[in-house]
Amino acid sequence: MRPQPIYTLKTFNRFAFLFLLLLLRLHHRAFFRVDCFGMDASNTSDAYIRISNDVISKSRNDLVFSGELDESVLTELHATWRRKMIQAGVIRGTIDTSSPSFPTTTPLMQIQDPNPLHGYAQNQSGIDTDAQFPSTELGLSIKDESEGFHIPQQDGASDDIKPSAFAPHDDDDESLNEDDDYEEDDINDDEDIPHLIMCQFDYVKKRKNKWECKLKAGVMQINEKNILFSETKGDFTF
Amino acid sequence: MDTEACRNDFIARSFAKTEEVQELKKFSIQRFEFDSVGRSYVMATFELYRRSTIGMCLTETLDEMVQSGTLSPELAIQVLVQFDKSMTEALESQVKTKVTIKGHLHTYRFCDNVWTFILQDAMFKSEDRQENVSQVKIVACDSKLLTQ
Repeated sequence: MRPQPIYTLKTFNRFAFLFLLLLLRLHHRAFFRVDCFGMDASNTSDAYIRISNDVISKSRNDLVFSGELDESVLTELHATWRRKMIQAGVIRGTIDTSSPSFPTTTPLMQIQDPNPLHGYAQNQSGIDTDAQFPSTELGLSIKDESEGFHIPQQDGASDDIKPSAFAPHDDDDESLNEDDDYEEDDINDDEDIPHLIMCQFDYVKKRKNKWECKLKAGVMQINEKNILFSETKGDFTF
Repeated sequence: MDTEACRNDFIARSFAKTEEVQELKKFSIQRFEFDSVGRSYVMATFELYRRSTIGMCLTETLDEMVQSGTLSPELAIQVLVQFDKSMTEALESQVKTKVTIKGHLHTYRFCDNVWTFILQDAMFKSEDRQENVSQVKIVACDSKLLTQ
């Protein structure tokens, strides 16, 4: 008897359907990955969630069980910390808007805030523009003046404090004047360099103008991303 | 130290201006801990990770709770120290990413066992991706200081 043909229209349709389904799933994943800027965002999110859980559970062991701290306070601490990280875009999750501790707080990311008292405003480039992350009830508009990011200040009048207001004033200064100004490359590294790396160094070597260093255990906040690394080799030219 | 002074000290420590040399001293409060037979030893942690987004979120949370009186400043500091430890430990043992950095070194500074570099036109390469930045600041503490 003649063998039945395998590729009938029915089986073809079935395979075509499955193939398209697979394509769709792969496409979905690719889309997901592109939005995630590679695997780093999810790795960082997972790591941060683990770290926060670790901090809370160790604090519980140390402080709650010894009676110094109430469990409810610790829970509130954890919830608020998580919420801020979600708002900052460094971890995944949804914000529980029914929680009583969800008022309109001061926006965390004030990139251009020159107020020297708020040191933590200096290096805020951790906002992830990942469309995956759910938008919050605060409706923060994320639009920067220089980098594509700006959160409107909601805690009062705009802080336009010039740095010189806090500098010591010496009128009868004869030895140092503007002639002694350092003219070359007037870069003030204490102003907002939005990209920051915090890490440890194993060694730093230099030969003439070639610098070599080995860094480890670092957090990189660059290009509005949070990337963690265990080891880094740096080659710089001075 | 009374509560008010302690609270002010906590806030001052958390939000110290970066241009102060004190900020470069990345050691936390020297806590005296006791081992199983009662010998005391000093624990040191690196405060620098508090400047990361996760650290800032925690610092802000703790500050709000201290301001509202929900949490005492002493406990807040203990939580922050625990954060230092957890963060350092996670970065040293749980993270596996390796990166290379190349760039033009604009400024370097070594003070209080902390290197600060400012790189220009830097390139960061890991196994699957690459990032370029026009300017980046690197703050690095001496890893040997943590090994006891």
